[in-house]
Amino acid sequence: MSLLKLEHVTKRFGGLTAVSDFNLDLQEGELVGLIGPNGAGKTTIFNLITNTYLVSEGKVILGGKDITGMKTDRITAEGIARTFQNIRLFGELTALDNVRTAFHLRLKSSVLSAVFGLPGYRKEEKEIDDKAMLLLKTLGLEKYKDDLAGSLPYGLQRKLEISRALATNPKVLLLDEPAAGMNPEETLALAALIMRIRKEFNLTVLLIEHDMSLVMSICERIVVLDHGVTIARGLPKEIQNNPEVITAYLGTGDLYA
Amino acid sequence: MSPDVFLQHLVNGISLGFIFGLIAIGYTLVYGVVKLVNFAHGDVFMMATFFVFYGFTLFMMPWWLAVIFGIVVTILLGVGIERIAYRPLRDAPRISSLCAAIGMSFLIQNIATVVFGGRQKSFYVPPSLTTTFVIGGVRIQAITIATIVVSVIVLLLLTFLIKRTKMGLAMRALSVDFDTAKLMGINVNRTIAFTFAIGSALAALSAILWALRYPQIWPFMGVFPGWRAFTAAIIGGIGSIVGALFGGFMLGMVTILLVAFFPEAAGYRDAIIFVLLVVILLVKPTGLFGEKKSR
Repeated sequence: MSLLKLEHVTKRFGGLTAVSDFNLDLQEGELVGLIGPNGAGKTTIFNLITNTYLVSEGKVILGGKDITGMKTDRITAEGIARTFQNIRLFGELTALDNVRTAFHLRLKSSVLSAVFGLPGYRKEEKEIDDKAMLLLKTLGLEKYKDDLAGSLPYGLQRKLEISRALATNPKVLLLDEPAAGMNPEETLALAALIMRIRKEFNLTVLLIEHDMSLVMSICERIVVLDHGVTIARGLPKEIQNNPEVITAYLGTGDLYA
Repeated sequence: MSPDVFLQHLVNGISLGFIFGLIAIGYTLVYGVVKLVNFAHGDVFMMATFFVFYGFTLFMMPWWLAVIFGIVVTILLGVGIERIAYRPLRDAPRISSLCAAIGMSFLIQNIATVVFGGRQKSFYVPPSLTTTFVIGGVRIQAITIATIVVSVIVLLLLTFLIKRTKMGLAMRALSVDFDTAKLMGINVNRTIAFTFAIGSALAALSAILWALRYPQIWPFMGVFPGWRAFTAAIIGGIGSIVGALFGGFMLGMVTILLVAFFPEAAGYRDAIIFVLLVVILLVKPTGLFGEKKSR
């Protein structure tokens, strides 16, 4: 079943067309890679999906519902979460509080019940603390719960971003270069992690990545962008052998460089 | 000066320090979340005393009810100002909303002058608050003690609100990064409106405590307490609640002790406060408790 669908999505910044007539049909449970050279418009597509940028033309449809132009926090509530290429944690908050922010939209109790410490509120706070801890544990971060997010090493910050995204209870997870700055072993571990959380949380994943070993090993389908235009789409094997992709993006060198 | 008299001044200074601290927290809280210096804060402060005044004299409410009425209407005013004057400018350059805030300040002062008249009015002080206690030779007015007690309760509530509630967490998240907060499902408009509600409630409370201490109210009464509290927030490091409280205390103490020890220099009070500000900023440009720039 089609879960996330982008139809003829176009984004213009003044005279520059950053993304032009982009189409994507993400099936439920799929893991699709979005690749392309720097400045191809990959991150722009993420920003269009979450309405951080306003779509110039076209539609974004989630589970049959048109979410184009919906407010960002509502889109999150509808079930789309993302991580960032340049990590954007709340650096001055603890790791646990970072995850807790993402539970915000699932909270029910009012400010008044919080101020008066009513039982409903306390129960809810306890539940959230438990769930947030569980998420930290899932990613092996429970030791760092009271550390400020900004003080964690880079690799852990990436993991914390993923656990924060998971806390919004997403259907679709958008990962923006999760392997950036990781060494080959860490990338391997990340691949395993993505596969595991995808199964555990029933996720559909759209992945932007430059690390070809990661993309080729875990993605079921790949879409290639260049200068905002889709130049190829297909199975990893097909993409590797696509001459247009090789010239535009991969050059003529070794694919597994 | 005898120790008793000194102690008496000290208690007075603490009480005034709390009032400045509460107003300063109103500035710092809004700045921390929205990065806007709400110059209309001192005028919201002034309006609160008039709401209580008219609740009591015009609508014949019992005094306690007039106080609650005053706080509620002030909250509505603060949230309303944000809605009509600041929200439309949120994505505009920061200088635009700063100008809007200054304009709002003048607008409120002048509307108040037209509607309430420019003459001073007497603010009702319940007799129980003017009683003077003598504790071991120290003479303390009930309002001084009430101010300290109310402030401590309010500060505890505020700390709890910010540290332990979802709204507090949302406010802290917004203060770091708007866009990411949205992606976490945080409703930005609602959280900012809530921040202004808290700031206005603090303005109302401090205004009532102020008016009980100096029971003359008029449309420009918010100007100087507003400026001093703003100075206190800057001294403490704008954005920091502890800093605002500390800055407020410092100014309260300076104000009171100056009058006590050097009565002939009392007229230079504001000059001394601003010299203090300049010196502190020269030594520590982000204020005493200010954090390094996060973006």
